[in-house]
Amino acid sequence: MKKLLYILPILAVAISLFTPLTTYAVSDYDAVIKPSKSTMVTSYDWTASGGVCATNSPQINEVQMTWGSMILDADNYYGSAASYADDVITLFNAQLENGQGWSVSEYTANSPYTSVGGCDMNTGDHYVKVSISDDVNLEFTDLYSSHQLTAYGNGYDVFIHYRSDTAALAIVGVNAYTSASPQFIQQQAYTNGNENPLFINFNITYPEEYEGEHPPSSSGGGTPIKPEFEYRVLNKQVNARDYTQDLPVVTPDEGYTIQGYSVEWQLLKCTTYTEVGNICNDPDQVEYKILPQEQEFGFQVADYADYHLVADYLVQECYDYDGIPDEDATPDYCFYVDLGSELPEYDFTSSTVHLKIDGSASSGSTSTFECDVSGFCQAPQFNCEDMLDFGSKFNCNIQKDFNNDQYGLTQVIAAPISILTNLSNSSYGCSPILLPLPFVDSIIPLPCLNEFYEDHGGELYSVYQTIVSGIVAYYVLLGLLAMVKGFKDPQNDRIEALKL
Amino acid sequence: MSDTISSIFNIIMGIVFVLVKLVLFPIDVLIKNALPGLNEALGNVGDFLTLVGSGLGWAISAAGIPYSVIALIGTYYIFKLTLPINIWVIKLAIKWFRVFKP
Repeated sequence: MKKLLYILPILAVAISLFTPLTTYAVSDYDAVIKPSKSTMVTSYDWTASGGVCATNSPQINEVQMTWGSMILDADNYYGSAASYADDVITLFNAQLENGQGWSVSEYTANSPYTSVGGCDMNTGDHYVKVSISDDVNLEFTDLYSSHQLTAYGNGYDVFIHYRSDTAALAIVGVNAYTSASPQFIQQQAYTNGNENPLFINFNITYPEEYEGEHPPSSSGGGTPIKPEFEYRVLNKQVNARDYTQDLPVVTPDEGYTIQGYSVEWQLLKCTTYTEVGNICNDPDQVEYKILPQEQEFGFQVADYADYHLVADYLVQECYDYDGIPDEDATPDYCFYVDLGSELPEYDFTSSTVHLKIDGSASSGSTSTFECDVSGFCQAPQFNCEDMLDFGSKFNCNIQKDFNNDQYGLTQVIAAPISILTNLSNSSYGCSPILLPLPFVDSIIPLPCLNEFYEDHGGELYSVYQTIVSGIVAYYVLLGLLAMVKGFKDPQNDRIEALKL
Repeated sequence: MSDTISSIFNIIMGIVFVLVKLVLFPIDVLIKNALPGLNEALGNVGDFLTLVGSGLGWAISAAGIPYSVIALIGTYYIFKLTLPINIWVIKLAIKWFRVFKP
């Protein structure tokens, strides 16, 4: 038996050495999907002067991006009431969760664009403005009054948000032509008996000759893809790493290159909770990073609190200059691909886990969690009543009652008892391990290897498992035989049973 | 059969756990109140054992051992260790049967 303990790891290593490392599946759609362009997004830092939004506010940003990345900042809203802002932010967050960013239009030099915008009278915060090209009509329905509205796309600057699962849309904007006040859309909404310019049932009508962005693709029904990551919390330090493999390939436009998948990490701090259910409501973003998929996310929070860790996939596409300087080309011309449009056969969603950072150590993996449609994942609720037999329920209830009040020597003795019990129930499924490395302040994720063996071990792995099973079964049978022989041993206490 | 054995084992382990808790209760209270440092150290030992236990599944996975083999080993030892109690129960049942036999 002791030899077996040496043989098994050696065989495991041998299998890993003699099998191919990784292969990435290539989708059949790869050859036909064309990536879309991004949207020109302009941010202005607005200030209110005498209750009127200034029209010459400094431009703080102008970049090419998709909706998914555009509305990441919860401060990027335009509204006149806090409740309205909350609604918009809620929808924006839903957009993040859905990961279905898409573009309305592309701003070009030909657009009849004049710079106006909106401002938040209350906070003076900046907002994001998007220009829509000529003759693109936006039809939407008032979220509250179900009244049909049409905004004619003569250079509209809008906020827009599309929520794929409910087709909900939030849109705010001003008429760029008229340099109207930011209240333009709001006034329109007021006219229709609604104080909150949130709309649903979004449609875009494009003229036949229109060569801008294609309409938003319908989502839903595709293969769901969400980041699968493992995390570890050590005191105030949060580390996480995505380990998903075989992500669908995005084909770049001609002259462009794909930078590979990135993970958009957000760490949100819960500050307020709902009265009903005490659910984290409207968390504040404390950290935001876009990192290559293979790179680990790390952040040290300032306070002990409840947090949400959100991960979403992004793919960046950049123009390939081949090292030749081009004066006409914009340097660093990169943008994030609209995955919802590029890979409509997939539904990209985010993954969110709840972290309770209270000074203790914890770890987990989304692969072992139960995730809802929105991508919020949590550890499966352990319920003793779900256990099959009476003994398991009995033991489970006992341990549950006592585990909450363990101290002293009991907590040392209880741990191996729990291990033995779980082992007897064969409930030791594998979960990835995050191995913290000393001195280098890094964590190495150790994924479960059984799937790897199955994928790459082939027949060798089957033979190995058969041999292992055979050896163990042989020793078990020997043990049973010895046990039966022991019944005949007069010195054995069990002999009494046979004399009955 | 395996479920029955496993169930018996779980009941035994539950009883063991309760006994451990009851026997150690005075000592635990003493440690908790008089030696908080020791209590914390024991807690760390318990956490370490729990951590080791949580890595057991990964170790099994890394060794490429099928879970059916683990279940076989577990069932064997459960059967072996609970056999005396099973026999004792059978003996008790037969004894009662003989007593109440008309």
